[in-house]
Amino acid sequence: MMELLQVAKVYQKNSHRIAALENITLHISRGEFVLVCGPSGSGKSTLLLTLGAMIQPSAGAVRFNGREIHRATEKERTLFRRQHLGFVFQMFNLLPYMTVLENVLMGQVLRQPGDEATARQWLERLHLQDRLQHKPSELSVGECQRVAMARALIKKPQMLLADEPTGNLDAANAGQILTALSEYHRQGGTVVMVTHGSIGAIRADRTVYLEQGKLVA
Amino acid sequence: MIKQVLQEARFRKFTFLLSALAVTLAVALVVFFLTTSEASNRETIRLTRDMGFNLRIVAANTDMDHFWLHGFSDQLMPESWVDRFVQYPKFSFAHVTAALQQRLRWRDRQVVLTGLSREIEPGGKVKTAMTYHLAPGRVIIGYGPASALDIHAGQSVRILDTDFYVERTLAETGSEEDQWIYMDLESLQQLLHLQGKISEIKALNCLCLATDQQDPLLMLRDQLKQVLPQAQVIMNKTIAMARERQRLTMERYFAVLLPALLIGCGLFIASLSMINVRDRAREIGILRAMGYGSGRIVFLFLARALLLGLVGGLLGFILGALASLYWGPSVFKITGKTILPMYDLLFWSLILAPLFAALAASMPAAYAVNQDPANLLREN
Repeated sequence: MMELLQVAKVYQKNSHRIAALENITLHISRGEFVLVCGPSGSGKSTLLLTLGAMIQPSAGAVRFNGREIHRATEKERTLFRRQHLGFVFQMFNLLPYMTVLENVLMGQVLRQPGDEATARQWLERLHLQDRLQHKPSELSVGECQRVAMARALIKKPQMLLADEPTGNLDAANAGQILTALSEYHRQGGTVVMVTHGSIGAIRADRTVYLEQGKLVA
Repeated sequence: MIKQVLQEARFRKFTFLLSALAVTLAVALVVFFLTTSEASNRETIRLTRDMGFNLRIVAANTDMDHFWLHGFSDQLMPESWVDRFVQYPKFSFAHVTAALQQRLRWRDRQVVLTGLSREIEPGGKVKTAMTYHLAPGRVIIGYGPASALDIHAGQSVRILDTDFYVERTLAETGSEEDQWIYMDLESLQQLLHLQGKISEIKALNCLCLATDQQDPLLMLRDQLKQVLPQAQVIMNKTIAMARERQRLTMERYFAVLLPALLIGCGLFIASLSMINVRDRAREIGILRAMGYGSGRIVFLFLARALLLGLVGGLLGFILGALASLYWGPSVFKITGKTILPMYDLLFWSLILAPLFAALAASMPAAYAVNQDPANLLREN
């Protein structure tokens, strides 16, 4: 489904050359749950953003169902994200001026009839049915992350990219997020989740480790 | 998307209102200036009008030494020349009047009897009279004889065996007109046994259809020869030039003030828009991650600018119009009361202010979409 072939990402800052990713080759199959582990600064987020076509690699190739994403134009990559990907970030990134329901609906770029009903279903599954008209500032961090989760899932993406989604949460809230991820995975969704430590509560199909921009296992 | 723009504006109301305030002030100042500049033009016209007629037509054989020394012609011409003058299609004018003037020794003083006809105005327009309109049997006494002979309004005076009612006396003007006694033309013609005679035709804003390359006075003289071959024309260029200079001064003032104002307000709006872009870095990043294209993100910022331009345009027009009504009369003493809101400026305010705000916000909007979304998300 998605493959990285000898991908490198180098940042040049003044005279400093920072290699965020080096010679990464990774194959992710449809329906697979891949956990990417590694210490802070190991390149996990860069890897995730490269998978999400948010970062253009300095070298190597990124393919999605055979399509060369690394050669795509900005417009094509935007379309690719819109059609196939869902994102969940550690900091939620909810729009502060919108209600919970509106935030979730934002996940569906091209609205269709029935989107609101779908959004309500997801929010109910994530135990947020009483919070539909609340603003993010009125929610707990756990609730915010569940809203972000619902926003990512409303369009039924083929692949969900989660960047430390439980990093800010207590055990109970983290458990709810991981349950939602597992449920999405069970329904055939592909998950790539980045974390700085192993998460016992989740059963990933595969765990890969990154250290200083390189895959070590 | 429109709803999103409105929600964001409400959420960040302080910066939104600050930006709207910049547009409001810019529009208000432009509206104030344009509204009061109309009053300024009218004021100039009134002030130059009070300086007298700028065109004087007298008989060709007038002794010009006498004319300049005493302020009127010693030669007479037929009153019918007035009709020939006003009916000539190649002249345009604002006011025309006929005058008969003659010096008289009256109660041991030198005075000038001045008879004035009713003013003839183009196309039957009703305009404020420039001269005194007196009923038969009534006179206005200039400052000189009135003060020397202790004459007051309401008294009766005898001039050449005829009694006249003094309608009023005039304040000192510091010119030869202080010695004049005014009455209606017909009364003076009867008094002097000069029926059908006048000594001068006076006109204001009389123009002939000259091109830019032609001297209007030469043209006027040339054309007048065809209508009134036995008359000569004298133009007071000072009055015409004063009006033109005043108009050009206002235009220059506006030409300097307006760009400075627009640049200042534009930079202020652009700065606030840039702050808005910075505040919304995360939002831009997540929108890009979700698959929103550049066009929709630009729309968010430009629509916001259009909205604040609309709000600022409306409020600016109201503020500018109210300021004109409030302060205009204290600036323009004569015509201030005629200042009225120019409602066509409301239309232009609602069209141009949003475009102006969108233009000012276009650079920050372009900056917003050109940022690396990965960096925006990583900043978190």
